[in-house]
Amino acid sequence: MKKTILLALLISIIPSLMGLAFNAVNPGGIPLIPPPPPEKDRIVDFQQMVFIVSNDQLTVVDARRHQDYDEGHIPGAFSMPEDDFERLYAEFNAWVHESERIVVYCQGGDCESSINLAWKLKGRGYADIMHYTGGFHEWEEAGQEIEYGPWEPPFEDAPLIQVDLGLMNTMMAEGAIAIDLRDPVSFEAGHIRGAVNIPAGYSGDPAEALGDEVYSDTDLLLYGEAEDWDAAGELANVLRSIGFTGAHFYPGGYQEWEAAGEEIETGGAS
Amino acid sequence: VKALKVLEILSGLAVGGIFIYAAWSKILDPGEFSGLIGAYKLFPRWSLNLIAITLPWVEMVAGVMMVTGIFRRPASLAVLALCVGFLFSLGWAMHHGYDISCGCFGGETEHKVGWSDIIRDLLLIAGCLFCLFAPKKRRALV
Repeated sequence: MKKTILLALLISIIPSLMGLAFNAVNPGGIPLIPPPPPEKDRIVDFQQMVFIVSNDQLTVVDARRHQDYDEGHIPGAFSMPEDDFERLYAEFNAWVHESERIVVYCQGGDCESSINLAWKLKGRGYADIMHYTGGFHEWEEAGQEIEYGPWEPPFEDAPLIQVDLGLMNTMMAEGAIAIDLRDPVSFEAGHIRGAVNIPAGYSGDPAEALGDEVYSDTDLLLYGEAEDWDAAGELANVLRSIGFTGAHFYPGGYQEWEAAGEEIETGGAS
Repeated sequence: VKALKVLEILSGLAVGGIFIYAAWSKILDPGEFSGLIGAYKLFPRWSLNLIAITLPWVEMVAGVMMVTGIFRRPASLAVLALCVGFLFSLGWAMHHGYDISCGCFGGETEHKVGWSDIIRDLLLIAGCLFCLFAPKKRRALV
């Protein structure tokens, strides 16, 4: 009997160690100690969430399982369940810059998956993460608009992620390329340092215009004179369709850039 | 004795098989399992992930041992201990009237914890006890 008890203990301990080892190498593994719940100033309440969503203001990420997401989610939310994180991360990363503010949510109540997701994203350099703790439950109960079906890659009519002047500088320092949507004459008269000119309605192959130095995941910063939403959206769709996933939009445009005294260049394509 | 031996092997197959099945989805999605354990409000938050990481592996290995007959007796004892623990947890959840899913087989079952879970657990306990106290044979197991 003593031997049986001893063996039973071993049968409990050895697999536990196997589980710990597996968790360490499993891409879908979880932290040994759950990450702490969000600080008060990191929590978004219902009113704020309604504002954020209706203005398409921030990137919203749904941490629930794909199945739950498909059955209803907050409009425009990116689907990123914990157990599929590794596969989805590349796409997410191409779409959302590390310095952008993100809102994560899960079902609500005491749900933990958004906390774990935030922990994983933090590990990849996303520092500004907010938590909508009311979650999908609160959103649905309040009768807010719900979107159904699986996540679709933002190839068409995707919300363009906006960047401001500060982020422009940060991203350009990290190797992002500015893309000037204005006509060639305005471009030659002055454009953002290092920009490539792809005028609205450009008939050639944008990949050729971008050249060899631009990779499919290079961040591209589209701008026009100012607030050229339609032109930027159109080009972003074209770029995404040929595999360039890093399109962003700088609504301030050349006007704001020049007025702020940022570095400009003149002349034709370099 | 032969009939008892057959019964022992059958109990091992049944209990072990159920445990292997139960362990599988939990191993695949430890994050979800952690949430399911948390819903019982029985363990402190810091321990939830550790349980979710290790418990399914104990279930899996002990289940395989019960099915194959390698160290069936000690494996039955380990499974018995787990089942008693589950019984307590289920009772706790029902006593407090928590509207939570059992989590017995990971996340795919939607129904709330109830008597069916208790009865299944009692059957598992009976199977374990049988394997544990079935008469010993002196020769090595197949």
